Amino acid sequence: MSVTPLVIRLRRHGRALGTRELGASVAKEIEQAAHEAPAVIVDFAGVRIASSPFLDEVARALLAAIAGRRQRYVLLASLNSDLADTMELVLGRLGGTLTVVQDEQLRLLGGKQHLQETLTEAQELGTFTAAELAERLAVKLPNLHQRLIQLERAGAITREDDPKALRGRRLLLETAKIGEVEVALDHR
Amino acid sequence: MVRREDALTSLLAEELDGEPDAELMISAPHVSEVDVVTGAAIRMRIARHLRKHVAGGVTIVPPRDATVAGRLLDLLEPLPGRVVVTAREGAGEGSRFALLPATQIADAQDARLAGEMALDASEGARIADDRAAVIALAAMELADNALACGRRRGPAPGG
Repeated sequence: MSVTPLVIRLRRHGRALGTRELGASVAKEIEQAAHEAPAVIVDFAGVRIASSPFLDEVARALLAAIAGRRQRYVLLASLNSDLADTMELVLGRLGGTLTVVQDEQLRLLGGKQHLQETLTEAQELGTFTAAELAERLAVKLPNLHQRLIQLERAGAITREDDPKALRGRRLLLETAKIGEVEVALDHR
Repeated sequence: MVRREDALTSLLAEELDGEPDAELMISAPHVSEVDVVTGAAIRMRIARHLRKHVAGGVTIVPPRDATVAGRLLDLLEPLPGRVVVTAREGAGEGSRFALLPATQIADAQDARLAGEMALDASEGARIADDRAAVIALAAMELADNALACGRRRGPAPGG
């Protein structure tokens, strides 16, 4: 299913982003976007540095938006290595995980290695059932379910009922489509 | 070594009209030789400063070499009342302060702009990217923290 994500471009606030007040203002913007759009991308293109308090506010807002489960995906994009490192530290303190688009791949910030491997395989499949991914990863379904829950909490995948299921209920899982994300970000 | 031309240049240099209590600091820890002309020039410079700044003073940090220090002080004798000789290579008593260029930070937006300015200045000075980032973040965070502390303290007395 194709969606048009809402892109929050942080560059318009400046190259150096800091202060908790600005972070709170961006958090409100994210909250608003989460109510209005089917998917949200926070774009750091053109941002050189950001302070921990600022990123803390942004990360909390994104995790809250993901917990609201209204979006198909919630992503970060165009973080340089400094920003990614600081965000990872912030997420470590919050005990959360977020997903960033980097080099046309979905990458987890704050997540464990096996989760990243699961996400990489899931991205290869695009849209899939849990059984299909479990087979690809050669893991048992109960183990995979835990990982899928964590990936959902990171905003990396969404699930919905499979309308093609012939009997009972079958869940269909999906990662963000990179092509769709790139089109949304194509502003530079 | 303080050359005669250095001493005379200092003596003849234009002096801005400043506060009446302005301090003159003569820092000479690395001086290895002095002569009579140098001594006379410094003595005249001190006298001019005390004349122009009626409430000001002079602090002398003498050469580290005891012989050179003794010779310099001999040449400056008798020292006027508002002249202090200190062995420390820092500010003398009564001048424990420094003037730094400062930008008023009124709100969080100013704090963020201070970081942006520090980033631009660091990059303009060709400071390495990672260091420039640290400098800019420090400027921004310190300014933001100062604002937070200021807000907690409430209005100034009588304000």
